[in-house]
Amino acid sequence: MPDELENRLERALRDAPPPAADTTERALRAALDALPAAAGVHRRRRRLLVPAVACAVAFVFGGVTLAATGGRLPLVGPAPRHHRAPPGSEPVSTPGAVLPRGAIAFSAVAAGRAWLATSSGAALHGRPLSALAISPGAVWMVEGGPSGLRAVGVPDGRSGFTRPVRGTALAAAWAPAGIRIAYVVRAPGGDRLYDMFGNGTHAVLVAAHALPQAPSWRWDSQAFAYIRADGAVMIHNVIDGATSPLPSGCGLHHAAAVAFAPYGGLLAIADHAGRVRLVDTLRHGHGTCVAGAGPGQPKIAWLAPRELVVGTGATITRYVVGLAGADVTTVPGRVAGIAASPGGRRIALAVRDASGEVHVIEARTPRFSEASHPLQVYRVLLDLGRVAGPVALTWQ
Amino acid sequence: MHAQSDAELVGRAREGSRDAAAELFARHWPDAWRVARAVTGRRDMADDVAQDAFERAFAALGRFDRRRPFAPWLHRIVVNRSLDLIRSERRLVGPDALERLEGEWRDRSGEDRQLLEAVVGLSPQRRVVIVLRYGLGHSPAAIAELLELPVGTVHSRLARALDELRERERERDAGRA
Repeated sequence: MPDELENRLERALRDAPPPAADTTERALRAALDALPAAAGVHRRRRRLLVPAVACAVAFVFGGVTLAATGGRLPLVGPAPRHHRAPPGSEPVSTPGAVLPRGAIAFSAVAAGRAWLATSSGAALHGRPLSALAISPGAVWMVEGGPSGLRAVGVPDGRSGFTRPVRGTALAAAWAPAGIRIAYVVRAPGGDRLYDMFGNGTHAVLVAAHALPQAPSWRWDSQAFAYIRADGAVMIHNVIDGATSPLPSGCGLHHAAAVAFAPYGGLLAIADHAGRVRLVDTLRHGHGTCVAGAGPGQPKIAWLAPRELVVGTGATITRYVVGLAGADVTTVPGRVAGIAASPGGRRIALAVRDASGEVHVIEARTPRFSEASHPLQVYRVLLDLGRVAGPVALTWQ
Repeated sequence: MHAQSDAELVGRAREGSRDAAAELFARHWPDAWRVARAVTGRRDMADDVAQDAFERAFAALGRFDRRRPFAPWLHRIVVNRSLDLIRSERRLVGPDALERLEGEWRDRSGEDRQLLEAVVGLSPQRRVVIVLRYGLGHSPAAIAELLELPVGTVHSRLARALDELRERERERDAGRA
């Protein structure tokens, strides 16, 4: 027989406040979108998706994740309903960013604006966007704004999926295999990190408090690293949904930047004090402390599976895994962003000069040697003017 | 016209009926959200967890055994997702959550509010059984099946959770005196 406490519990818990109407409406839309297609429709879609499956296989590791996600097809590209982009929302082909030599896509996002240059001719010139992520091969881009995320075809501007979010999308990162997208939303209560399929469905909250920067995907697209709001480095495995903290080391307790190597499980972690740590996440978290970079907001770019550069303050520091020491190169201003070319021979740097103007330059990657070499700048890719905050650069 | 059973709605939803799926959603959303809300202790987390649970449940409708009741299956997904999230955010759910609860439940009677705060202060494992038992009215046997635990473990967690809540009430009363 229930006692007085149990009666009070029943009353208090059953009278709990209800969910908000907009939450209910959003959840209903998302749930209906997740419904599996009926048998007949499913067969028809399969036929349409054959070419797309071939593309996914070309991304080598997609199949592994496909199997792990129950055989559904989280393909790069739009949800089944296609429609043309509304007038005025197509990528604008106006001069802006210069495409680095040999690149197929180069993008910059700073202070709520985005720039893009591609080999297909599509471009964005300072479009008001809070986030921009380019898919592998620059086939699709995901634009983030106050109403959510929207996939747009890069070459033709056709509209793909839209993913409404509560808050403003701040950053997004496409998995290397193109089958998932992780993104951060600024919502009441904190910056929240989500993971979803590459077609904009099945979004899952990964963390309710994360740093407002794009997470870094592992090369096999099966996990990504992010930094929790308290500075802890977390690894989220998209196969089993498990999230685990990486033990701290090297006195690095509040990470400010993380980046996975382009192959393997090496994760570079850096903090504001200039500490840099390399952790092999596939080998029991074995970590190595490397010679410190300068203090400041760190930016990391991998040049090769065992070589990386870290930009902090007015220097960039190049490391080779397994070799002691580092090569420090001074840059003409403070580093606000960094990206490496796919081959690692060149880098793009966003540099804030003494007057506060930010210039994005293409430079030769500094040599690794005992003596420092001056930075060899090839050209200016983009002038951003006086923009505040970090500059997110990508180079494909 | 008779109200369709959950099994009938699941069957129609599987065949592609969005109306049936919407009806199923309307029927179970409030309880799923309340479970998520009570287990996570946070309204904003509950929004995500409950939505995510429904997305997963609907995506997996084809594998759902229609002979079994829908609600416990859904609640199991909600509970598991809630616990996953709490585990990954453990250090961030605590005083902050209590502060939010106080704001949300300011209009509740003083005793109810304190009791709900005490429930949020329980460990996630104990909180879950309390919410399922008293918030949703599941029997200990149903909770055991839902959480894949022995019934004895459920009874023991319930008893310990109630003891802890009584102890907190005693401490509070002693503090007042």
